[in-house]
Order: sequence, then structure tokens, then C-alpha cells
Amino acid sequence: MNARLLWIVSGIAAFALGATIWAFPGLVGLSLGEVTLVLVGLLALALALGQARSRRRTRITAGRTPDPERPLPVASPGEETDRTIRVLRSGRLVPHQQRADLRSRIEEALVGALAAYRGRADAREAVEEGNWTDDEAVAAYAAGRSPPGRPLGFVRELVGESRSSRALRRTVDAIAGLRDGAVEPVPVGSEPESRPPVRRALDTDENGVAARRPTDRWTGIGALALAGIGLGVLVGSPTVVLAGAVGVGYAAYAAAGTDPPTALSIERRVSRERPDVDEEVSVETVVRNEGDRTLVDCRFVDGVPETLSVQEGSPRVAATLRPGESVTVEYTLVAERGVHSFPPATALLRPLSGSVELECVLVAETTIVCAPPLQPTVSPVALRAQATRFAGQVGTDRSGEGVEFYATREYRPGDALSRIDWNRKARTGELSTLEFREERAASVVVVVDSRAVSFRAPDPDDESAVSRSIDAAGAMLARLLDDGNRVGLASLHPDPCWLAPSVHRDQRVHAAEALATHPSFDPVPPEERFLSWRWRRRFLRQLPSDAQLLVCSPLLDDRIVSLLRTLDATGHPVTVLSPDPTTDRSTGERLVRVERALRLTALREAGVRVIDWPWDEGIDLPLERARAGWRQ
Amino acid sequence: MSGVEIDRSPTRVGSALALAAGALALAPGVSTVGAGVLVGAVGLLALFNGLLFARRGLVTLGSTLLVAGVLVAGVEGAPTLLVLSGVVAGVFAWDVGQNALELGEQLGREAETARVELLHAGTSAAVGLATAGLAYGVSLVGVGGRPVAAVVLLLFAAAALVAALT
Repeated sequence: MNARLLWIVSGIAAFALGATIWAFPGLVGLSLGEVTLVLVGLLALALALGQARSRRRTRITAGRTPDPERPLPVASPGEETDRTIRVLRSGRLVPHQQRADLRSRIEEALVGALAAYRGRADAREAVEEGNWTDDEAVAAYAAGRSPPGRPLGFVRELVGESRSSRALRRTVDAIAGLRDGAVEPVPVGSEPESRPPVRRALDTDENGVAARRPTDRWTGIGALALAGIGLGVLVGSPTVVLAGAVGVGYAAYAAAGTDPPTALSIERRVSRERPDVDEEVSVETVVRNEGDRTLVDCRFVDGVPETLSVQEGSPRVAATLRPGESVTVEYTLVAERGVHSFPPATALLRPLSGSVELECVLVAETTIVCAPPLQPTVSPVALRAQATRFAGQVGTDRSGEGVEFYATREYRPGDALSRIDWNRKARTGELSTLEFREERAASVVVVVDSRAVSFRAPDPDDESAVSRSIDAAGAMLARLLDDGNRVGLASLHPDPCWLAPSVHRDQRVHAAEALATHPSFDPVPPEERFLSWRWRRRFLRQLPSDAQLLVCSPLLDDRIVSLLRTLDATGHPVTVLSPDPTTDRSTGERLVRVERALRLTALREAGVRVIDWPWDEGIDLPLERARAGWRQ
Repeated sequence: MSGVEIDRSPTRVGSALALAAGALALAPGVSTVGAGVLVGAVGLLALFNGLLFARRGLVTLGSTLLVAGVLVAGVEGAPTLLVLSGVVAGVFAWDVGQNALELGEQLGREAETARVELLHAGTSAAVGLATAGLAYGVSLVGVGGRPVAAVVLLLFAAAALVAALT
């Protein structure tokens, strides 16, 4: 700071003296030789070059703003795997554990895929011996040997990918090919780069300022001053020297900027706080300068719930605000199911020259709650055979009240006339009575898997598999209630939801409210860890002993498989409806797709019913298909 | 769920002002018909591309070449007033161009930014013209004899201030 002051004082003194001599030549008897002049000119040019270089070295740090218009991107299934693969490919060091995990996952997927045709032991042997594929490199990689070299291999590795990363890519393609027939190879480097989201700064001082940073946008202006003066001295052109003076003026302007005032307030109004689903909600946010100084440059971005997207208008504005003056941003959001609270807004404040920038965080608590009523599925939901005492939907293996033919027996006095098989009487003259399959109500708990691992979508802008599961759960729950079953609701989540099975007519309303507002159905992934054993203990304590489970889960990890098998084995028949968010654009995504398919097989082998739900289908199609399949 | 695509290109008002100023900075070169106008033309092209593709480095390079072109024209004997306004125009193009870039990046084209941009541009022009005017005034007084000591001292003043400010 002192050195800076010294520079300023001596600079001003030199300027005053120089200007005086310029204006009144001969007043001071100072003269310098031609050589010195040239040296000074060169020195100035060198300094100018230094200034220009400092500009090149400076990273300009203008504040970045979040993209509140877009909903938070959803990760693709396989994104994490792709990240590991990308690091492997780049040649950087990968932690041994990660590398080993990836390797064993590939091995498991391969053995699982081969086991569909031969036994598991045979599959393992085939992998060891490498006779399951014609591709030597793939066979070697899968068996844990290093892949053989290719002609001119080192040249190819120099320009393209390394041997092992090529083998990895082709092995996964081969595994995918075992299941789906020959697949197009994944192009090199197709792993999508994930967009890093801009984190909102939230730690602020007492004025709401989260960060103060010099923008460095004027760095290098000194080069103009020095170059003009140096060049002017060297060629003896006063005009060029004067041109350099302009640079000094701008440099002073850049340095003179003081911090802008920060006394801002915001106020937000929404047209409806409890909108229907897909209804447009208009938002008006007023930003006001509460201070007594003019704010010349205020760049404002309103906080928009991460889960909603802006339909019309813009939540951004740049404004000049005199004391007491305000500016309003207006935009429309499209409501979706859930609780959506507005995060803090961001304001970037600058003085006129823009040489510093303050980032302010402005808070206005606003929440939109959208709890749509449940629409039942068109197709009935097929349930597992297990019944409660109440009349209802599930067919039992007993004769009784019902509509489906079960058996005929000899007529006994007292049988209702309508139950007598008159056709048979006409044909043979014997009286016999028809019996019907007794139908009883089932006790069902619909479970939504809303763990962080299930927040995946084929496309970053698409809804997540959890969101689909919640929609499906609501629709199936409504249908099951309509069919007279006792239905409850639960979630696989660190903070689980529990709604005990009931036939009460309020159950549908309670479920709709829970699906929209319970924290475990939040549209953003939970940060807390999910502990399977703790969840199961708590869940089984609440679960009626005769209840069966209808689970909505994309089945993207192995833990859910063992959990569902355990539940099924403890006498609660499990049906899984599994939305499929997997794709096959990259190696990681292909691996995850194979793994999920193997999980479906494993569950089915364990006696769990699984309904695979392709991403581009509505919910009724898979339900209908499953019902047709199970009736046979 | 598609949402709004955000157009993050530099704002229209700022880009137009910067390009107009860039064209103006060619004037001294045109007056001398020398190397200056060539350097300046390359600069204007770089500035244009920088604003088109939102590349700050190109905006800086373009403005630097524009100013360099003006200085060359000055060496080649362009009129002082023209040179001074040329330099101001070059720096103005740099400042306003960067501002358009930053506003585009931070707020996007959809946001209302014109008022803030005009205020910023106005102040920037005022600072440049005031400095140039002052310098021209000094040059009128000091015309004729050119005391070497004065030049050196002014040089030192500039270097000292620049060192203090950066």
C-alpha cells in the first residue's frame, strides 16, 4: 500500500514538473542527450510489453450467473462410470480401487450375460479361456490379460486411444452385443462431458455481500500509455506521446472506481401459490435500491426453483437504480408436482468503470406447492396372490363370491337358482351348481425408490426416473383404491414416507398430498446416505403382515435387488415396476444398461415379479402387457 | 421440461457501439493512407469476430490492433486531433465490447440491458474525450519547442501512475 502511494505521489510530482517544463521551456535548465532519450523510449516500450504480457496472464474473473431458467440437469445412468473411463483414457492416474471396481463390474456383467445361455460355472470358464468371442483383444481383456498388440500399435496409440482403453470400450460393446445382438461400436470419447453447475455463493457478510472481486478487465491499459510515450519519444512525434496520455486517463478511471452501494431489497409475488399441474404461474420480483447512493450498474438474476423451468419472460435484468428506485422482472413458470421454494437471487454490482464487482445474495422466501389429484391408470394393476379377509380384487384359490368360474359341484338343497348350471340340466337332466372363484381385497403398499442413485434420466433435460416412479405410484395407487383394495404408500429414502394401507375414501387425497409434499418425494436427490438395514427394520415394523409390495424403481444398483429379495422372502410378495432410464450412447451407459437387465433377470429368478417399463411408453402399456403375461 | 435456451452472445447495443467506435478508429489511418489503416482493419476484423463468437481475447486483440493502427498513423503524420479521437475510439471499443460480452455472459440477450450499457458507454467516452482534450490543450501550449526533459518527466509520471494502479 505504501509503495503504491509512493508511486502515485512521485508520478503526480513528475507530471507537474514535466507539464511545467513543457509549457514554459527554458524555465528549468535541464537537458538530456539524444542517446538517453532513445534509451528512455526503449525502456517505455519494454514496460509496455510487460503490461501487455500481464494482460495475457490475467484470468478475467467476471462473475458467473446461474441458469435459473433451466431445471437442474439430471445425470445419465452411467455418468459416473463414464467419468472413470474418461480419466483412464486421458492417462491420468486412477485410484486402484476405482479401476478394480470397474474391472469386476465388467467381469460380472460378462458372466451374467453369458450365463443366460450356459451355466454360471461354464460362463466363468469361457471368460477365463477367452473362447466366447472372436476378438482376441476383447477376450484377453475380459480374462484379465493384457490385450495383444496390433500392427503399428504404438502409432495408433500416439494418435488415438491407448490399448487398454480401446479393449475396455470394445469389451463392453461385445457384452452389450451378447444381449441385444450385434451393436454399433461406441465412438471413441463419446462419454458426455457433464456441465458443471454454477454454485450460488451463500456465505455473506452483514450487507449481503457474498464476494468482492476485482474484474481485471482494465489490466493492460498501461501498455497504451507506455507504448504511446515510448514510441513518441523514439520517433520524435508529440502527437503519439499525447495519444499515450489517453491511456493514463483511462488507467486513472479504472483505478478510481469505488465499491458500489449494496443496500438492495427484493420482494416477490407469485400469481398462485398452489397451482395445478402444468398451470402457468407468473412471478414478479421487484428489486429496490434502499440506500442513499445511486447504484449505476446492477445485474440481477432472480432465484428460480431448481426444479421448474421458465416458460416466458426472463428472470434477469440490468438496471441503474437511483435511491428509492426499483426495477421489476416478470416471468412465467410452469408448475409441476412438488414443493418448490425460490432460492436466493443473485445481484452483481459494479461501479461505472466495472473494475470491481460485488456479488450480493438477496433472499425473499417464496414457495409454490403443486399437489395434483391422482389419476388412476386405465389398465388394472395385476397383483400377486395373497389376500386379506375383505372382498376385493385378488383372485384366491377358494370358491366363493366372485365372477370368474371356478368349478361345478353337485346341487345341494338351498343353492340359489341363479347358480344352477341350466345348460347341463338341459343336456343331461342332472342338477349341478356353479362355483365362482372367490375374490378378496389385497393389502398393498406402493413403494417409490427415491434414493439419490435413482435420480437418473436418459437426457439431462428429461424428468428423472424418480419423477416417473412417483407419477406411476400415484396412478396405480388410485386404481388399486378404485378396485377396492387396501392401499398404503412408502418411499425408499433416508427420510421415508409411510402411509398405512387403508380403504378409507380420504386415502387417495392423503396419498396425493404426500406424493407432492413429503420430503422423500422432493424433486432433488437427497444428500443424506440411505442405510438399507435401518430402512428395512423401520419399514417391517410398520408393514401389516399380510401386505404385498408394489415397488417403483429403475433398479440402478445391486442393493435394491437384495433388499427386494429379502422382502419377498419374508412373506411380502413383491412386484416391481421399473422405468428404464438407460441408454447406449457411451461405454458407461452401455455397461449400466447390461447390469440393469441382469438385475431384472436375477429378481425374476428369485420369484419377484418385474414389469420393465421402457422410457418412451406410457404406464398403461407395460401394465397391460404384464397382466397378459401373468394370466397365462 | 425443455425450458428456455439462454442466448449468451454479447448484447446488441454494446456490440453495435463497439463496432461503430472501431470503425471510427480507422479514420487517422485513412487520412494518412499508410500501414496504420492496414493494422487497424485487421483489428476491426478481430473485434468483429470477438463480438460474434463472444471471445474476450479477440476483442482485446482487435482493440489493441486498432489503437496500434492509430499510433502508426500518428507516426506517419496524421493530424493530432484525429489521432487523439482515434485512440479514444479504440479504447472505447475495448471497454464497451468487453462490457457487452460480460452482460451477454451474465444476463444473456433476452434481458433488458440497454440503459446500463448506454450509461457505461457514455462515461467511458467522456473519460477518454476529457483526457484527450486535456492533452491537446497541453500540446497547444507547448507547441514549437519540445523540451526533452518535459517528455521524460511526463513519461516517468505515466509509468509511475500505471505501476501504482496495476
